[in-house]
Amino acid sequence: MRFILTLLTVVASLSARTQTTISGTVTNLQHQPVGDVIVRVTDEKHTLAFCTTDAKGTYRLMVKDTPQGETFIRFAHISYEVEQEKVSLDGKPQVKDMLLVPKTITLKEVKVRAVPLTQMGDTLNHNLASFLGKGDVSLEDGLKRLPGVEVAKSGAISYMGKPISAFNIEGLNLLGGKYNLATRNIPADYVTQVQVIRNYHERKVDEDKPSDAVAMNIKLAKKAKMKPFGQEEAGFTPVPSSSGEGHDHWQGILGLTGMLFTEDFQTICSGKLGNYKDYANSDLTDHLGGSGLSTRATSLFGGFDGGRPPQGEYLYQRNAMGTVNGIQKVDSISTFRVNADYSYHRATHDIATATTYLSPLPTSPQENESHLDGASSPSLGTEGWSRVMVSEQTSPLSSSHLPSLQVNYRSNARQQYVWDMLTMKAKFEHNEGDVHYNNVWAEQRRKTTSLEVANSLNFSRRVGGHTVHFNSDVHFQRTPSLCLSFADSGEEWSQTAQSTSLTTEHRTSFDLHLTKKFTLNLPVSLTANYDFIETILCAATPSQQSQQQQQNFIETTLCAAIPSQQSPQQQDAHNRLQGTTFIPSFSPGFEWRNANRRLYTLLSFPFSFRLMHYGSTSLSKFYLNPSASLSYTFSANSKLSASSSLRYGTGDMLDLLTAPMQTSYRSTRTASGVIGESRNWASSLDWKLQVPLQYFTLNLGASHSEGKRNTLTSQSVSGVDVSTSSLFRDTHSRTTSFSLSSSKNIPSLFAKFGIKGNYSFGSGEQAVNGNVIQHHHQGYSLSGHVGITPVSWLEMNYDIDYNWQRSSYEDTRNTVTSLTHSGALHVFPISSLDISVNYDHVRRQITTDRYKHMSLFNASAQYKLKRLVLRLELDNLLNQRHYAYTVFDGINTYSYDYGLCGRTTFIKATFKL
Amino acid sequence: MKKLNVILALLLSVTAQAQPQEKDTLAVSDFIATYIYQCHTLDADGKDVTDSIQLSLQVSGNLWKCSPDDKSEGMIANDQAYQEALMHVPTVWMGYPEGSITCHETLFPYIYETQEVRQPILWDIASTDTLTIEGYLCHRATATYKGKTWVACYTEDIPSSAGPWKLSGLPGLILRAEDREGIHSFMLNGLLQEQQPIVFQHYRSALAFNQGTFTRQRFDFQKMEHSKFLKFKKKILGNKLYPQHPNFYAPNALGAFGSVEYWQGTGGRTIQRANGVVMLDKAHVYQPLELK
Repeated sequence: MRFILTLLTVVASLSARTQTTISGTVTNLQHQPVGDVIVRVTDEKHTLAFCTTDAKGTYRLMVKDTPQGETFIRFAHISYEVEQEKVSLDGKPQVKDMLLVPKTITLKEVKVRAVPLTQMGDTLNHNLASFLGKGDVSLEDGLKRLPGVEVAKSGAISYMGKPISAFNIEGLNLLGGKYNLATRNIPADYVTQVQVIRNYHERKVDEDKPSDAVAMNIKLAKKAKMKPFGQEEAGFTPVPSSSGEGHDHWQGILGLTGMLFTEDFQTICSGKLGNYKDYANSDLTDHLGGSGLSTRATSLFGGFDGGRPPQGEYLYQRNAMGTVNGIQKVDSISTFRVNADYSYHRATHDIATATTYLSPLPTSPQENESHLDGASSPSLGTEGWSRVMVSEQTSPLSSSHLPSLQVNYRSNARQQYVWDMLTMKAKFEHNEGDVHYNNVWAEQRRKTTSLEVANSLNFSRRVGGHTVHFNSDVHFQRTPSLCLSFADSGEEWSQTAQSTSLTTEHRTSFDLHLTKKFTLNLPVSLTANYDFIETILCAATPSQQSQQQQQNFIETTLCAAIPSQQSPQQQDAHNRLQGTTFIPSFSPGFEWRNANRRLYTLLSFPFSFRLMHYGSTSLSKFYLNPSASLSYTFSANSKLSASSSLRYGTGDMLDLLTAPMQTSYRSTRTASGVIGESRNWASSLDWKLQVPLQYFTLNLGASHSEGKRNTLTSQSVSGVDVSTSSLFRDTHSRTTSFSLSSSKNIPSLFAKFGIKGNYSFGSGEQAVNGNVIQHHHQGYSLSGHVGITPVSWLEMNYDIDYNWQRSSYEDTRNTVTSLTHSGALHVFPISSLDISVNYDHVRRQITTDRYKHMSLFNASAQYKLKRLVLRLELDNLLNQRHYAYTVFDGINTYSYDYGLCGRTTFIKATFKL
Repeated sequence: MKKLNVILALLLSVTAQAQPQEKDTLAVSDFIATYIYQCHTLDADGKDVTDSIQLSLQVSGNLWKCSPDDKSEGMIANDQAYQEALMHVPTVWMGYPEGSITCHETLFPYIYETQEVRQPILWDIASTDTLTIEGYLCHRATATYKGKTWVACYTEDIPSSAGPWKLSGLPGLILRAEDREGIHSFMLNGLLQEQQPIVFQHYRSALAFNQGTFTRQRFDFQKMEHSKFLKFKKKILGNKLYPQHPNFYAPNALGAFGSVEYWQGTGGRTIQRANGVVMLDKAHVYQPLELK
């Protein structure tokens, strides 16, 4: 016991000896006490003790350790010179007073940065300036750099592969789907923030419902608010471009856009015209649908177009447009919007096609002769079959005038939603598609006028804990005249059509929120349609006519009165049909979500009764289209969705047009005469992971669909003539696909990486001359994107895209591959000058053992002043004039060779007003 | 007499509208540091969300003020998102009055002022553990403060014991601080050696009689003991009803105040305001900075 006490006493005395108390007062030269001085006792490396002086300048600190080596006491204050003294820690209390000499310490300032990205619930706030590159001019340039955001060539914006459903400016939806007007005309430096709003609810009454919609909201800088601004654009080709004959060699653009954004009113007005690329045409693209105007008649008899190549400028265009858009806040929840547009578009291009059709071998020599007449290079294929190849050259020319007016009222409160949209549109088209085949010219003309008036009303109201919805859509479309005329090998004939449609759909729904977890939806709808269509195929006229006479015939036909006024003797094939469709339906749905609202399921059992009556044909049948969907939200950043649905569909009156209809100089179409019925089962699984603050997005998806129809399209080839008809026979198709996409930004490097992959396979059936052939298809595509700014004066972009497609039927297999490299290099010798080169290289399979290599090379220089942007564009420097590729459509093979626009030099100036 | 009543009514009405306030300049700052404050929490649907707000720290010797910065880009005072973040963090005056901490917090429908004695934070310094933040060599320190354990990074190159919110008392400015659970964090976002007045806002109670019924006995502003306010705040914001129905404890704002203002917020959302205070229609789960 004595020993223990002695030991404790020794330990206590030792510890008492190692504790040193230091105290004192810190004053300045005026002997005033200095507060908030940081007093530290340190050895050579470590802080042993510290404290701060109080307002009287006094301090007191206790040092417990006794380190080896020298120890110091240090006095630091932001407004005084740092003072330091040696101090010995011997366990005795010490007093250290200090006199400080004024000297402001200069801090290494840290510039206040706007945080590039902040996440506030479902809203991602991108500080646009943090992402902009030096060469970026328009808002669209900036949007391309945001993580997860993609801007297609058309200007369509999507986030994580999902197209945005609303584009707002300062919270107001001024433009609907025509947001190119904003993204391509608002300067990037006028925008402070781009907000991506996930799980967006267009209607506040639906805020309790799950949503996977994405919207974008733009916040403007102060300089863009309250005062009008805009931009003026002008450009021209200083030297004539090396275009083909009949195309514009001199090109120019002129445009003026004005905008005003106040708290209660916004407007964008623009007028543009030009014949350079798609200038003045792309601004009015409606990304939410409804850019064009398609009626029953125009969908039956499409224009002579010829498609488009995947890369390169190929169209020679003349465009003009004028647009006035305005939105006024009526009160805090209501807006009134008007969008009035007019656009003119004229385009032509050159294309050579080689189409290989599968056709049964003729059984007699005479048949063989006629079979091969006009078609070139038939070759034997599968036993009993031959392949017939038709080569054509054409330069389709189309022009259209499209005026439209939209008037919209919207009131969006949590208790009530009212939305009404009145739309009026007209389209006047003229189309020429002369074709050269086998040293023969076939002439084709198309002229049509279409009108559309539509009104859509949407009303929702919360009543107690429940919600009532009412929608009413009325759609009137009319094509008073559609005229096609053909002249081939001295024969002339014409096809005319007219159509009228009145579609009305009224839908009311009552959402009963039975418990917090369970909601019962009780929608009832009634669709009532009236349709009328008439088509007349006029007989060929005698063949002994001169070219001038042929031309006169075509012009006369195009200007002819409506088809029904022609005499019956002139009519070879006449369809005239009108009828009505009534579809009452009741679609009960059951929503369930768990207590933490992460799991959401929806089961829907829509019953509908379809009553269709067209002439002597009628159909009345009950249908049940059940569907189920499920989503689980792991977190705000991760969501799994699955859905499955079974849908029964019916055809329409177009299935009853049994008289032949000429759709091109060598194609006729005949319907089955039976209202088609189809059944389709589709399922999908989708997982999204978004880690916005890590700038990472990942999307994995899988889908499968199986369909069955009671009719099958049958193709017959005779010489160059192709006719399609329908067989009354069950036909099956199925498709399975998998997709992956991911993107990652590294802000410190100004780098954006992205990959995409897709694999699909499936099968279908086609018929040739009544023989049914089952065909299979499979393919995959991989693409990657890298955008990086390794040093401030250099920016690099690289894209790679690989496609593999295989189509097979019986023992025949066709495979095509394509590999595309695209690179862009931007050099900034000074911050306002952007010199860039773009390079595209394509290796594309034309036939089984033929590949085509093609390179496209563009360069540009852009000089940015405060308000003026000057741009010099050198397009297609290698003067590459062709782009060729092949696609398989089941049993047919289509090889295209597009003519590309030649080398072009263009100077453009954009002035910010 | 009737005229007198009318004049009095007008005068009182004007008084109520004006919301009288006075400002005192307490000191002039030696420097200003800005921080990004983040709070990881859940939204009304139970999904993970991160509330974020920029804070401005004005430092002058022993006195400093840390307040939400509603003037920076993207921070819009009437925004729902801003308000959601605001509920976690108050405006703090450290060393005002001397040796005390004064806070202003908004809890619909009032602004509250609390005071407490400034207690030293007992930091445990890991001198060998260094890192560089924004070019400043930093040391790590750990302390338990108000029931939460904080890990802070401070730099001796800036001789100030200040820090964001109420975190302070290190031998250098705190540039970064995180709580152990990873719920709250403060990160330096800017540093400016600039002289700015450090202002204290005095609120006055206002009385109006010609608006809603609630205004007859209301005060726009209330002083409360800090510990009492902490319990009061936890009771309201910590209620399970709060995320779904943030105004559950004061449901009839229109009836109470006679008028509700509407503002356009993020993504076109309409923000409602009564008595000058934003009414949230949905809120995030409250994550207290102080447990004790």
